[in-house]
Amino acid sequence: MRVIGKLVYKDFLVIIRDRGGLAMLFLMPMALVLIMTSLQHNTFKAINESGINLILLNHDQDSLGLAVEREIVRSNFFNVHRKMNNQIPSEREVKEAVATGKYQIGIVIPFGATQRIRDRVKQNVLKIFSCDTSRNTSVVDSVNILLFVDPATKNSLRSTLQGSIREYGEKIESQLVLNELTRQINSRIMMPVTNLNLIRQEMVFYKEEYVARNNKTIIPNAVQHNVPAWTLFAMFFIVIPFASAMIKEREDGSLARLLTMPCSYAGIMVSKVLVYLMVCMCQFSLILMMGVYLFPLIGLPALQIDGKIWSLSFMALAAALAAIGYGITVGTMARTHQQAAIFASISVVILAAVGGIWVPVFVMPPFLREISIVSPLNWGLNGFYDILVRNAGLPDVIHYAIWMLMFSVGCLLVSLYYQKLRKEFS
Amino acid sequence: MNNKVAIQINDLTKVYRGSTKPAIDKVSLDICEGYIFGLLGPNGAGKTTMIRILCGLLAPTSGRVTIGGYSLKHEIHRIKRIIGLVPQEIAFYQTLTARENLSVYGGICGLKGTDLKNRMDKWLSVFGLWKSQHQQVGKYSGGMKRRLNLIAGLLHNPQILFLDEPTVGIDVQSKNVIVENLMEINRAGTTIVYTSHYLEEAENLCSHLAIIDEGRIIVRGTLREIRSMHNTDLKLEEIFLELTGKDLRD
Repeated sequence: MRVIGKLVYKDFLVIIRDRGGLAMLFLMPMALVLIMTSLQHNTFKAINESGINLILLNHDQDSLGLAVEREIVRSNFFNVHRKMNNQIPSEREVKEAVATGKYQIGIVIPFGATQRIRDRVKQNVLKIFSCDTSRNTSVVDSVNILLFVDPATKNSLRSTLQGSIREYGEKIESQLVLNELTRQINSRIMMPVTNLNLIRQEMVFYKEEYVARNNKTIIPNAVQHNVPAWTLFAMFFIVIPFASAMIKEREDGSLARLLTMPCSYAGIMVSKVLVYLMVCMCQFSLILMMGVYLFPLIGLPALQIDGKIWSLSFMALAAALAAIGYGITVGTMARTHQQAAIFASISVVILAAVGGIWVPVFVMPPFLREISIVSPLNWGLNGFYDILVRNAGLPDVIHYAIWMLMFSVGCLLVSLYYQKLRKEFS
Repeated sequence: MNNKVAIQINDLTKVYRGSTKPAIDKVSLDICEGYIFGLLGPNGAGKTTMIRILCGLLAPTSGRVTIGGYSLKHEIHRIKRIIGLVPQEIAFYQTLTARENLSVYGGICGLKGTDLKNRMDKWLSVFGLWKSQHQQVGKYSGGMKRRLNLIAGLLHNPQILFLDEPTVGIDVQSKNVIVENLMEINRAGTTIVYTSHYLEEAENLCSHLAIIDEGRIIVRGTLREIRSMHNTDLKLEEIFLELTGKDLRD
């Protein structure tokens, strides 16, 4: 125990004497979390507040054209432009303007679009009343609304817009069908009926609610999502300084000297684990404090912890041990600083990517979704999300913590075995 | 000087992975208590490999070694309590002061309290590092680092001290104080196993010598015995060149 105490004292002194390294260990993760959260928060705000530039060429000043225009304006999602250089553009000019990125979306509603729908509806209704059951007898052209999209615009936005336009079209079409049906019925029966559109009303409504455990409603935001994700990512980056410290100790002969003294490789590792665990927990505490106290001061929503500090700390402890365990393996196996730095940084980025730090696992291709379950960052992230946005308690996430602890122990055992092999077979 | 064996080596062989040529080739050797045993040889002869095996840092491919009566294979934890190593590298934490480094190494070797303090005070004074004891080791000169390297190896008063080229790259004054103190330590009962390229230094310091080349001991004994074996009054350096040849080594 006294040996471990001396080793901890040594590792603690080594780490606090490297002021530049220490500053990076704390400031870089905080900067990362702050920047990524602000970015995500502002991206969301930018779409809602500043809007996306849309050029609208509405040749149909009738029901369809007016409905589409009204709904687009009402959505507050777009900056709607109708003119370019104070002139109404041609279809070609709209296309070119979108192609050059001046506008993200261009919509062209053709001349007489509503009239064409009206003619088609009339033709179909007449067919019904004349008991004609044959299909495809329409001689009226279909309506083609042109949607030009800047390739840099997100696919999800394009799909949403396409869906909305289709919805407006269908609404107008059904309205016209009912109008025409009313007209035809009234022309055939003695007692006129009121416009059938009056009985058309929306029957299906959506009520959106963010649900969490214990009937609690938590409104997710960029902070609740990004703080745990990037904190975890930053914690795993401790692998690099950790592995570097191990290699330095090996290269300068200190490790060899220690190994000729009454202490084991496992003891030397335990001391490092304790010191770096302290560093990780300090990182975690600082980032949490930043989320709770600093974010509201700079216009971000505050991180909502709601008395879950112990559950979060336990998950952080398990994640830190997983990161340090991985660092021990990299530090033991890598021969040089360069090898360790390159392998550690790239592998952490890969583990983060497949773990769902950047994009949620559910949108990944199936094979990546299967791989994601072996990433310790995925376990950590799920644990943090369950606690922060799904109102889970420690018993609900303990399995994630256990997996991370097992990963850490596994890494330590692999490293000890590798060190034994190195002694015997080098 | 008694004849109790401190280190017994039997048929020791080490073949590194990927190599067909042994770095140590069936070496058998007894080093008695109280010896200052010089292990000499050209570059790549196997000196450092031998020291690393004897300290438990490398496992031998075959052969048996006992140190202080303990088996290297089965009782390494006991051996670690009676040996000290002064490696070729300056094995220190550069951002720690000399005193902090010694406190860590001494503490791991079981020293504590006043005993540790007194030993640090003594050796820092003896090796002329008293004034700079609170300075970070990274700011030390090469000679100061070498002297501190030696203190870290002998602070816990080991029965057997291994020195791997302890005087390489330092000035005459530092070399002199190291050699003088090694003799003093040996007089106090520590067995010393020492490797060096400085043959004149070895000639003055060592009670017994072995010249190793290509993993094999090619000659051993006191300097007088070696000279009489070769029927010559030549200096050690000339005998060395005669035995190992004048070809350059990697």
